[in-house]
Amino acid sequence: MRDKQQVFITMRKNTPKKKPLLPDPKFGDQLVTRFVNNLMYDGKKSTAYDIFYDALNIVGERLQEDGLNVWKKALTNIMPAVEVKSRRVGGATFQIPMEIRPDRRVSLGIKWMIMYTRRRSEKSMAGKLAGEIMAAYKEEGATHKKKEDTHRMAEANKAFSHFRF
Amino acid sequence: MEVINALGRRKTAVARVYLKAGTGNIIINNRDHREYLSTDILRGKVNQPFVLTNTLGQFDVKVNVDGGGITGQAEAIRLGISRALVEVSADNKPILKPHGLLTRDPRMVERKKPGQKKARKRFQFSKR
Repeated sequence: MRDKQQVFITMRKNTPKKKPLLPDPKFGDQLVTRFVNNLMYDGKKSTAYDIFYDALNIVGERLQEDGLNVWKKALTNIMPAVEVKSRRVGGATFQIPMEIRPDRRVSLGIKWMIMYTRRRSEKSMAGKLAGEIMAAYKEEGATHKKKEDTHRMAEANKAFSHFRF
Repeated sequence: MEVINALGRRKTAVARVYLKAGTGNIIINNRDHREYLSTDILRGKVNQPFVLTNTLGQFDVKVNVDGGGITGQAEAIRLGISRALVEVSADNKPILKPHGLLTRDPRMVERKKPGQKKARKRFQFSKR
């Protein structure tokens, strides 16, 4: 029933096809590439890959577990399921809770993780990323808090959910 | 089997690829590809058509590549190798096509225009 309520906004042009990403050189995982592409500054992809692999090594050493799996678990821990969107109904703006598309969930998780990673106080980016991954793995840290906040906002505005567009 | 010649381009790079049966040696501009391509990302790109068609280590490749930067060159080589593989056996075409390996990527650097700082960026505007 919920699916039927989705409204398709007509666009002038066709939506471009999703191009498949090239899997990363070490694990052969497209999600890694996606994460690294978000991590990258100034088109420096190999530097971004180095930072990412270093971070996974640090995580693996500290926790004595497979870094890649820890990172994946951490990422699922911080992916939000609902968010609020503003919508004006009769002059008043309401915060309407909306479910998030799977693709957008991944995007938000990646972006948030990187955003809060950059604010940490470790010395190197690899160290920061490792710290944030380990925190998210244990369901703590700034990124996890952001997800909880988002969920709380949605919960608080649950009363408006019938305005969904 | 005789040598198969194919051409691949990407951005301003041009790769002339010579493919023959062999053991998987890839020689780029008379240097081994592991030496010529500095990172695993680029090596992965060059090997991609072989990996997809399950022919890794069945061909020797000799490449003359010129123009462009390393990424453009690697992708030009990839296109060249893919085209050569299709010539070896048409069965490879449906495998490579969905991955976009047989398409010449038409994106090029947009030219700088007069009266503007770059292709799109304008000069700083000052009202008076």
